[in-house]
Amino acid sequence: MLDMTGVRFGYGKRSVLFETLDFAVRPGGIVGLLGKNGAGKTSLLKLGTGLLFPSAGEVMLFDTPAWRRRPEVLSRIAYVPEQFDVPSIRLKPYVERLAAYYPRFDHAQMERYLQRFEVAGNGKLTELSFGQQKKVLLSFALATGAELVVLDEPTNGLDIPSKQIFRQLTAEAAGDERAFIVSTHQVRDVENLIDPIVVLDEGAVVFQARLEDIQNGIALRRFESEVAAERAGSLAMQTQLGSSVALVPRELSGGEELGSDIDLELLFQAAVTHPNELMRVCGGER
Amino acid sequence: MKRFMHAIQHELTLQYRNILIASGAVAGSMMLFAMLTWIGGVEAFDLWPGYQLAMIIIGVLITSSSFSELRSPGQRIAYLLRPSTVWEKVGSKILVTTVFVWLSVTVAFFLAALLSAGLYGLLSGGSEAARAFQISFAGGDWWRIAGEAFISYLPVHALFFFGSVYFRKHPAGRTLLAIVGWLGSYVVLAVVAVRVIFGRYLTGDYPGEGRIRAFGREFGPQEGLVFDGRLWNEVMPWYLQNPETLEPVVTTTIVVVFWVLAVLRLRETEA
Repeated sequence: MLDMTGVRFGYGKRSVLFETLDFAVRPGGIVGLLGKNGAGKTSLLKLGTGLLFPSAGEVMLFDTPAWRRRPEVLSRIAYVPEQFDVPSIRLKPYVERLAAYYPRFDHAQMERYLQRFEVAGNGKLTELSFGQQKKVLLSFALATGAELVVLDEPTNGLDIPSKQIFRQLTAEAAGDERAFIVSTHQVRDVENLIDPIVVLDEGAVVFQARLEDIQNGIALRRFESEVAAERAGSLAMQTQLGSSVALVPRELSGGEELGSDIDLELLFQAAVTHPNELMRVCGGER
Repeated sequence: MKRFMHAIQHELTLQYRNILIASGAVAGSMMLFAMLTWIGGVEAFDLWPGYQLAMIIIGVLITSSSFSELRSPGQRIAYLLRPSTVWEKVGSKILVTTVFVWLSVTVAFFLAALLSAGLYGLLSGGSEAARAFQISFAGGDWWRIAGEAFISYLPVHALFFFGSVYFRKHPAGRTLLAIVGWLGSYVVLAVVAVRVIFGRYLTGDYPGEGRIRAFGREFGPQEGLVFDGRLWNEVMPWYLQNPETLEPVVTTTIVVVFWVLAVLRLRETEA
C-alpha cells in the first residue's frame, strides 16, 4: 500500500529531517503515528502521499511513485490535514461534487457519520465552527471508501464526546482491506484505537510494533516507589497517588500488574528514552 | 471524460456565485447609470457598446482568482490530492472562466436590455416599444457583438490565466503590470533597434539619394526622430500595418501559447 524506503528529506540543504527513513503501511489496521511536535509526522504523511518529494530514496503508493499523484491512485486515498480551510459553499454540494471522484463513496454512510457527529442541515461550510468543519472532513474521509485514510491530528478541535465518536466510527470503518494512519501527539485521544503503533523521533522511526506484541513484551505495573520501579527495569514511569506506575519488560518480575492495557503516554516515553530495549522486548522493527 | 465532467461541475460549484454576482452587478449598474439620463427625458438606450469592456473586466477578475485554492495553505492539500490530472483541472478552469463567464455576462446584458426596453415601452405608453427593443438590442446585432467580444476576450483571458498561475499574490495587478512593462520595454527596444539600424540615414550620413533609395523618399526636417510615427511606417513589416490580417494568427498564438504555459507552470508549481 505505502512503502517508503531509504527516504532522505529536509526543508533546506542544511536541515535534514529524515536521513534514511523506512516506513510501510499494509492493509488492515489503524497505524498510530506518534511523535513530539516537530518530529516530522506531518512531513512523513506528506511524503507518503506525494505532497513532498524526497531528495533520495523511494516512496511507492499503491505500487506507483507517490510523487506522480495519479488520479487513479488519489481516488484510493483520503487525507484530512491538521490545518485546513473549507470553500465557501454549502455542505450538500460540497459532498456531492467531491464524492464523484471516489468510486466507492457511500452517501448513506456519510449521512450516518454526520448524524453521529451531530452535524445537521445544509449550511455554508465557512459558517460552521472549526470543530464542525473537521467533523465534516472526517466523515467525508471515512465515507470515501478509500483504501488508505490519512488523518493528521484528527482530534484537534474536537470536543470530548466527539473524540469518542471519532474513535468509534474509525474503528467501525476499519477493515482488512483498508488502512488508516492516525498521526497525533495527543496519545490519550487514540488509546484503544491504534494498532500497530509507530513512534517517530528525531527524524527516524524509533519504534514500531503491533499492540499484541507490545502487550506480550511489556507490562504496566505499580511499584511502591520510583527506586523500586527502577530496580525492576522500568522503561518509563510516572508517579500516581504516592506510588509509581511503570512500564517494565514482562520477562522481569516485581510490582503489581495493572491489567493488559498499555498506557500510550508511557509507551511513547519508553520509545523515546529506551528505543532499543523496548524493541527487543516487543519484537518490534525499525 | 467522466472525470473531466466532475472537474467542470466542481469548478462551477466553486465559481458560479462569483460569476453571477459579477455579471449581474456590472450589467445592472450600467443599466441604472443609463437610466439616470431619463431625468432629462425618457429615451431608449443601448447597453451593448459597453459589453466588451464589461466582459473583459469580469473575466479578468474571475480568472485571476482561479487558482486561489492552490495558493491557500489551508486548501492546497485538498486541491493537490483531488483525483484529477493537471489537464483536467486546467481545462475545467479555462472552460468556466471563458464559456461560462461569457454566457453569464451575455445573459445579464440580455436581461438588462430586455428590462430597459420594457420599462421604456411602459413609460412611453407602448407606442415606441418596437423601436426601444430595436435600440436596446443594438439593432439586432447584440449576438454579433457578444460573439466578437468572446473572441477578443480569449487572448486577454490567456494572459491573465497564466498570470493567475504564475503570480502568488495579486495576480490581476501583477499581470497587468507585467503586460505594461513588457510592452514598454518592447517599444524602447524597438526604438533603439531602429536608431541603430537606420542611425546613419537619420544622422545625415546618407542624405538625398541615399535616403530616397532606402526609404523611397526624402525626410522632412523633423522626421527620423525617435518617436516619429512616419519613420515607423517606413520600417514596419507590412503585416503590422494591416493588423486585421494578422489578428487571427496573433490571437490564436497568444491563446495557445499562454494556456500551454499555464499548464507547464502549474505542473511545476504543483511539484
